[in-house]
Amino acid sequence: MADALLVAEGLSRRFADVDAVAGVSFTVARGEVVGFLGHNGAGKSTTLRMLAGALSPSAGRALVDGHMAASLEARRRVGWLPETPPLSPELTVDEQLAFAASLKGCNPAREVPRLIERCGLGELRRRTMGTLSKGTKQRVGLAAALAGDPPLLLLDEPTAGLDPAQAAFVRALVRELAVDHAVLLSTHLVSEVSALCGRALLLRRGALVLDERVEALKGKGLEATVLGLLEAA
Amino acid sequence: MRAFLGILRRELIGTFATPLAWVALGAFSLVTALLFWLELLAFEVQQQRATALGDPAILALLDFNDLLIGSTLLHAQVLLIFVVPVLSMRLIAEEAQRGTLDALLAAPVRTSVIVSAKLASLAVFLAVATALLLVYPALLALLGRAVVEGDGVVDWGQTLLGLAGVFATGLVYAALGLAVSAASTSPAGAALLSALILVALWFLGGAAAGMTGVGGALLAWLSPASHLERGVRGVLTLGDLAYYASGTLALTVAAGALVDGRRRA
Repeated sequence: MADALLVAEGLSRRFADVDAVAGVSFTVARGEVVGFLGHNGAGKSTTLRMLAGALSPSAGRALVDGHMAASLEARRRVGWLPETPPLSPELTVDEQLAFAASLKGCNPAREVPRLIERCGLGELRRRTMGTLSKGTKQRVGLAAALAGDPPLLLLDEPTAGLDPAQAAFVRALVRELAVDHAVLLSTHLVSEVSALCGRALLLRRGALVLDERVEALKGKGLEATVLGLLEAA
Repeated sequence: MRAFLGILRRELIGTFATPLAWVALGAFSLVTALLFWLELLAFEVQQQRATALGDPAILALLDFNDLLIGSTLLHAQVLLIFVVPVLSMRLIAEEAQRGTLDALLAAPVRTSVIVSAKLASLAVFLAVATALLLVYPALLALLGRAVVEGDGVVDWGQTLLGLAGVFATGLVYAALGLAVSAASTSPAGAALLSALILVALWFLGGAAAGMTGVGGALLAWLSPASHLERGVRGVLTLGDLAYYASGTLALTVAAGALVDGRRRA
């Protein structure tokens, strides 16, 4: 795809004698939200770690805006929310976001208020991470991923553990971001893919078994197709 | 620079917002004070004996700096063998354990910046710990009386050089603790291994004393004790400077390589 912001080519990762990810290839373009489905242990988080530059692939490569995923140029263009948000329990929300902004080379004094505003964290600025609920931590993690306004967002189960109101807030934010960002959204929820994503990828035992437009899948019965592929031997 | 300051700030908050650093500083100060008091008692006994003998040559040997301040700094240095690993263990191993290291690895920041900022946070702790040692020469300067009439009580040049030696040796320990932390999966394991290596390094000086030739010279050079012993006597050689600089740099570079290696692990 000519305008792809993210290109994964034969991306593979082996841990000891286990192929966690095996030759996965796909693209994500700016303005696109791509759902990344799969069982626990299918290799979704490992793929996202490689795309974020936190883990080297055993084979294959990933390019972010034309730069190798582990390079500084690529890492500057990626916002990553891991499955468990990487937060320091002793920091306040303000300090955590200032830290995230400084890592992206931004001025925390300008960036933190923007992130606070965008993720609706105004009331919680002075609270430490250790005292926040799981859902609020997830929102702080999302705000940290948005530091520096990176064009590619890798979101690993951003609505997991959130109450319905918080989940709706995050989904609305993802829709808003999708206008001018590329979003790869890992999730267990077919309904979330149906509501948010234009395309779905499905990973089974480290291999990509589906890469199709959600509208086309809806025509075939999205949930039945996904469940069928997940349960296939 | 922003990333360096951001990481340093977070490390300092992590260190000083939890009881760990305060307990470490408190224990360090308490034990140092106790050892200083014991050295002072021993000094007074020696002083009384020397005065009774009335031999000016023996009296001249009773020097506050060599016998009291120097010994206290050497004791403090031994204490840092146990205090520094308690703090350095968390730098990488604890970060990996709680899942925050991935965020640093994915950030557009060079590994050298990450490890140097983490080392700088321990340097701040060491600067505070070293500054606390100033209380002993200050007490001697205020309350002490020179054994030989006309001598100064405290030689501040020698004292400050000794304190700089304590700080520099502590920094080598911190760099070693950082490298071990980068290689470990468990923070407690990192602390234990760092302390064991530092104890072994400390004893190298003793082992070197019984050896001659290149082997003995190499062991003596590797031992932090031999460098600090010169420092507290007011002697600084190019070899000492090379030891502190190359030790800190080499171990920090090793820590960086080990952190990078976690991407491939």
